[in-house]
Amino acid sequence: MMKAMNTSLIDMRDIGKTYGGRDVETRALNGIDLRIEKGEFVSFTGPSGCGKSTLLSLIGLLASFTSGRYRFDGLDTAVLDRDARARIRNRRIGFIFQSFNLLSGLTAAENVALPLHRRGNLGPAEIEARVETALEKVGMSHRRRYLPSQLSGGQQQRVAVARALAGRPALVLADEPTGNLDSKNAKKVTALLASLNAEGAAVCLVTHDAGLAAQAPRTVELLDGRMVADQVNRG
Amino acid sequence: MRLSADLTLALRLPLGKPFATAATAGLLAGCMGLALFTFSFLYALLDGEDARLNRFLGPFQAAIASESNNWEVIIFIAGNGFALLILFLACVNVGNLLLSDAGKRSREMAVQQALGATRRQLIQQLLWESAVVCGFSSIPGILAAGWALELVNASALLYFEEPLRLGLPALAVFCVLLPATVVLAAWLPASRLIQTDIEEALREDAAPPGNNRLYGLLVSLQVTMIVVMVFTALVFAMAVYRGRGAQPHGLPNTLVAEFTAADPQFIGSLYRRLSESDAIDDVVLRSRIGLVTLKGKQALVLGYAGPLHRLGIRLLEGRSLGPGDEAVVLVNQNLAWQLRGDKLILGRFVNLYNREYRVVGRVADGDAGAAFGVSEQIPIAYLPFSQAAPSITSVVIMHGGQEKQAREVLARFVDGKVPYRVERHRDRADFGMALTRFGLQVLTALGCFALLLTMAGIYGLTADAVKRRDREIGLLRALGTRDGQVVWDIVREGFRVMLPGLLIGLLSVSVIALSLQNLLPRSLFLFCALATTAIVVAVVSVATWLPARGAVMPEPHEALRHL
Repeated sequence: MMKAMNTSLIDMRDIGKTYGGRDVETRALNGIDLRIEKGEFVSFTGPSGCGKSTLLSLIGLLASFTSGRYRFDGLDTAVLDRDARARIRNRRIGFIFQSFNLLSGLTAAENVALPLHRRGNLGPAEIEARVETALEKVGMSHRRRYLPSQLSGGQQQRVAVARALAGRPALVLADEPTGNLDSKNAKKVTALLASLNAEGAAVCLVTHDAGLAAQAPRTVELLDGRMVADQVNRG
Repeated sequence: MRLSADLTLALRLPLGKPFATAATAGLLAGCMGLALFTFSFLYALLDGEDARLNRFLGPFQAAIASESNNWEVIIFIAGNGFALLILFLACVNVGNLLLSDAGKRSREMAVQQALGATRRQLIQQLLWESAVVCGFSSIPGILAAGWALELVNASALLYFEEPLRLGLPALAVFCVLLPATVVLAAWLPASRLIQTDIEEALREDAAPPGNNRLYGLLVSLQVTMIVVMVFTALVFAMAVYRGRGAQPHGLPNTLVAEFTAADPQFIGSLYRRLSESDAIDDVVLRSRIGLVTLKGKQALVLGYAGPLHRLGIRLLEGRSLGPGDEAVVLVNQNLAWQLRGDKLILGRFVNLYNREYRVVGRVADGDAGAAFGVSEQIPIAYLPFSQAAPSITSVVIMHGGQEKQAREVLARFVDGKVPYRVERHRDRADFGMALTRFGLQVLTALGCFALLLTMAGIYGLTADAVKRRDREIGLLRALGTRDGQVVWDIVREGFRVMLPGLLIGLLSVSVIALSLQNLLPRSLFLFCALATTAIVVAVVSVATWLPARGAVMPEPHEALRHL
């Protein structure tokens, strides 16, 4: 797989996504052209059902598009098999979900370590060091042995952020990361996303919250599966 | 992913659902113990002299090709087959239990996939989970099997020459069963979870994942298995109940006196005096001469004198042996089949101990052998008693109800010259067949246990399928569908899925019926098939009705809330 020089991190051309079977089809995304450069911070907004989360899934290689072309850091994703996609997700992408999605049987530290273990090329000492650093960054190292059920929603989301940043990803995808949090915890998580971006990771943030979206330097607005605005936020 | 991390996950994740884990471990321990106990017990049944003979003869020829049945071998094969099927059913149930919270599990897997886990890594993790549960379960399973064998040893009902124990053959079986169980128990969750649509599973309102084709396949498979097991158990139970094969003809008013290493001349003299006594109706002498190899297989050679039909062994053609006979032989049906197939045997010569014997008669396979510690349903050559060397000789005395007098006459004639032991023929036959009968009862018990497991398995699969439809069911009820109609639809769906399994099962049992055709009359095979169908239909009805009933218990708005 050839990698072009000076490529965008995300390069989508005329992307479409259709759900459904033989009889009924639902077009979730239509004609999406999107480029995101390395280190960019982009927010995605729009009403419910406009296709924000679907777009994020396509960007994160969690789902396949039905038309168009998508290059991730110069790699044509259409030719990648499931395992190759999994490897890219593991090494290049960090995910933060609205409902945290921590594994309930594992402690905070083990949840953070999980994708690092799956990587297969990191020794226990390095994993341990990365986990410790990540938990310290989000202010959760004192809760490293706690199970998710013993943590508040805000704390769980901070652990989820630590899990995303421990892999040192090139891209962080956050789907409504503050949707289940109170305003105080929402601010903490937003600040963490900003610091991740400051360290060089591109961040894609899906949110309903216009205030939060406005904090990103760039906002993409979707409506009925189409991009209706792509604007730079001032200030 | 490193082994330690996989193992950590495998150890931690089941702790999140202690009930399901405990139930899984208990079920596996029970089934593993049952399989090991069944194997050890039935192996011990085989481990006698006759059994070694049977093995040389080839179990299938003796049990299937001829008109007789080699019960020890049949029970060994069927019992272990049952135990393996039960273990398989247990694995399906374990898979169900591991998926007891399929929605949550599916989300866990989706999260791991989103974080970059490959399918191989997830399968590896599921195998570790299964290995942890199966590994821990096998310890109490082995202990339970050992204790059950000790219990059999301690019971006075059954006698084995050597105490039962978990020997090397059982451990070898365990070494094969454990990895097979690990893979089988992991298969169902893997087939369900690995194919999960990550995007769908990560949604807040995601429905538990499902696979209708897999549901149908598993239900059909379980129904096929249970049809085969219930039918076989019913046939065996009927055979025992009807007194053919496994229930020996304990002869009434008959004593068996056993002499060890007595002089043949003394036995011959005793035989004449007993025959002339007024207190005794008939006397038959019977002595074991040894084993010979005929056409590459072994046959038992017995010496006898007296009316063989009094032992329930009918003369089918030719003549019986009489005083003064030499170099002639009677063969039983089994041996005749072995030597000549369906061709004429009379007049042919058989070489026994480097001497040619002419076949003068063919007799039926008898049922009385259990009283003498051998199965008379194996190939047997009957020689005149005068050919017998000093060995264990049984003097069978028919006394017409005067048992006390017959015993006195016998004691008077023996006059303390040689040691002997005398018992009723019926008691000896009962004792001789006790293990075989117990083996059949074990088979029947295994069949009942399998029935319960199948019910639990189909219940679990149906409950899972119904759970995936709870919103649809809620909507249907909200739109006015009666609860009874919803229940009936689910039960009918269960029957639709069951039908292929039932048909395949019935086809399989027709093959089994052909193999065991001499056990029962055809009408009873038909009865067994009908009874099996009725039992399986009843089990499937209950197993599908219960979850269907559960689906209409909540108010419709509760299901609709998630729409």
